Amino acid sequence: MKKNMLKWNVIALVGLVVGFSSCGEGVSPEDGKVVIEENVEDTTLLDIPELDEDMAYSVPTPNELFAVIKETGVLYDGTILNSADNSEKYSSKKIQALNFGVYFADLAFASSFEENASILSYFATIKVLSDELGISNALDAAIYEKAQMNLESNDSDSLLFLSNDTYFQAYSYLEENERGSTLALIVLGGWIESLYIMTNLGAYEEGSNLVTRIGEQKLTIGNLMGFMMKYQDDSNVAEVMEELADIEELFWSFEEEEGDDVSTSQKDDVYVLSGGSTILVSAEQYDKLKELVSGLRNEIIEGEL
Amino acid sequence: MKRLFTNLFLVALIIAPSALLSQNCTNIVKYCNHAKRDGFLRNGQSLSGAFAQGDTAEITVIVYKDMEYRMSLCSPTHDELDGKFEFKIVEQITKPAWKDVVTYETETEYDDYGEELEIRVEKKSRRRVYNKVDVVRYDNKKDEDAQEFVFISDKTRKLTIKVYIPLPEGGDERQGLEAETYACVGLLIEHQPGPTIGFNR
Repeated sequence: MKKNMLKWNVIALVGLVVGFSSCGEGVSPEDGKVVIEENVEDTTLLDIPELDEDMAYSVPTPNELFAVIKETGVLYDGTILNSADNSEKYSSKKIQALNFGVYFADLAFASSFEENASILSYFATIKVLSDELGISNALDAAIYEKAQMNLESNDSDSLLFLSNDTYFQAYSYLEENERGSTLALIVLGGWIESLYIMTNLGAYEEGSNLVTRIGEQKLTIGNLMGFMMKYQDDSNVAEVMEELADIEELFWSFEEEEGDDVSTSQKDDVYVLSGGSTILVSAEQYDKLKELVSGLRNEIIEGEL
Repeated sequence: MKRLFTNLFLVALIIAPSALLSQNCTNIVKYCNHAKRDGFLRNGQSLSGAFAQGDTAEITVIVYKDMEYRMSLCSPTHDELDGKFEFKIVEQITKPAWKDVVTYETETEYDDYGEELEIRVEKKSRRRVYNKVDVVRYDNKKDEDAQEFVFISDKTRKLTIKVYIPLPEGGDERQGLEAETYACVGLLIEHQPGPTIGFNR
């Protein structure tokens, strides 16, 4: 990550030097010619993330993301999720934490699409992994029973609340107990799995809702890196941040298309934020992203990272 | 004697939560008034923390297109702050602009006698540059000090929330450095699927 940021900073610096070096020569244009060059697009300084150590960075949860994804009209596909049986493979704390995040994303996906059989299975797996990670005290002891009761009464809204609450219980417990590095691994695992699911829900279609939602993850990866930066003194966190570097760099290459001027209006008691740019994803970028995300995700679920 | 114990118990009951909260502000946001009955779910990007009164806290969040969000603030340890928070929602926009650039180069020409002449050439060009500009999307001071902000967005965006933690009554900024002027503050963010077509409610 540091290496990456340094690289981009150097590129920016070189751009600045090249851009301005010839301005300071102190040469008089007297008796000289004037040549007008064509307009030039200067994107040297575009899209270099500036992370502020004093800023708090938040990352949306998989629950929120899949609520959005559901609206794109995609269909549920349980075959792409991590099998609950894999949980037995995970022996190191690092892999357990990453896969805890993976299973949370799978649970969020299943909950959003009301896939009852998968929901129960993932609640059970999360409970098992929470024991391994020493955070089972934080979770509601009767989480599985509650999930089962909600399923029997066909109460999908309560299941969504239960899945959301379970995430917060784990999150708060880790924060309170100053286990931020474990939290960072969980958040990263959840995000990678969410991205993996998204990129496997449909083929590339320029400008489609799904591809647009995937492109928008460019905003999230900036916040994810900002969030993880706080814990990068932990070697496990630093290692996975390095694994994420290629994906991060690819996101930075996504171009943005100018849109309408930004405006804020109000309708009834609700404000509407409009305008701004749109993130574009090409077919090549989509394929590359899919490949990189699959690679990292498979290393995580195979316990090889 | 019994009355004494009862009084002590009552005092402890009143003081204890405040004392506990002041030690650890983690997850303080759960004490904020939520809008669950309106269908909102607590959002994972909510923030809890100890902040010096008189300071400004900043948090960057992602909001998705077509989701409805509600942001609100509370301080369970310092009730007197409730209703007095100042906050702004800021978005960094990339604005394109044309920039005139003048550079000078030396070119070699020959005069009528074949002698080399160095000519300084002024080159003018226009470059398309992209400037990052902070745009204030919402300022609660311009909305009668409203303590909650409900909104939807036509695009997914990154927003920075800047929250000013008011000073104690009659306090000045120097007091912000003292430990007793820290307050536990929760920024509660909630979300629910918003109207998907035309932003009509």
